[in-house]
Amino acid sequence: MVSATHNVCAKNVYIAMVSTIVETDKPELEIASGIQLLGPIYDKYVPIMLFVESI
Amino acid sequence: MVLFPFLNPSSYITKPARTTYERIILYTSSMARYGKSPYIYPLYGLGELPQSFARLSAIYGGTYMLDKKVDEIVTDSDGKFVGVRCGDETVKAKQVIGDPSYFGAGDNGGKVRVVEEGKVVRAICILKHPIPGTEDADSVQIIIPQNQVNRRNGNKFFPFRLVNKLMLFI
Repeated sequence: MVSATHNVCAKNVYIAMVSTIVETDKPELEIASGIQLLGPIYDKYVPIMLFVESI
Repeated sequence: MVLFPFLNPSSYITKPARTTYERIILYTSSMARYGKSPYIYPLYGLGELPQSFARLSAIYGGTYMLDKKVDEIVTDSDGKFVGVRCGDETVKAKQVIGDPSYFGAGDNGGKVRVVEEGKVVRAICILKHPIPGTEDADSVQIIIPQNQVNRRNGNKFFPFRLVNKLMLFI
């Protein structure tokens, strides 16, 4: 979680990111246990990104 | 990240203590060195990291190419790296370092050098309050160990997102 201390958002706004490696076909449920800890959420975006590794 | 081994005993408990011990030393010696966190995080977002490379390039004569597409990784007949083609231009170098996503097969069906390892789900949440139970910390990272949520990979509150991809020619 980052905030205005890092000059990335306005004062009294906090940006929290919850992420994990996808293991099922319902990725948003996989991070539900983390999202619960945040309390009320003003707005939320949930991108899913591929990651690749060299062979 | 330094403390992750303690929280991930399933993989580290069977390994020699040395690595973990060295990480504890690094963590404690980093405490109170700069501010109250052992981690250094840039102000104004992670765009400051390429910015610092730009400064070094200005000093040591590096060239910065912004907003360039990677069309092809050019190799010689032995498969050794030659350069990177971008439109009609090819930048040549002895060595290249880059984000793995740059080394895919490309649109014209080139050689595959990377494989899709999986997917990452990432919720970016805007809050109007600090995370409860963190004593109103202005920055925090919480890791939920995978065995607490019955998963292979733990849940992480990543404090950052990598959006800037860099390619470095040496």
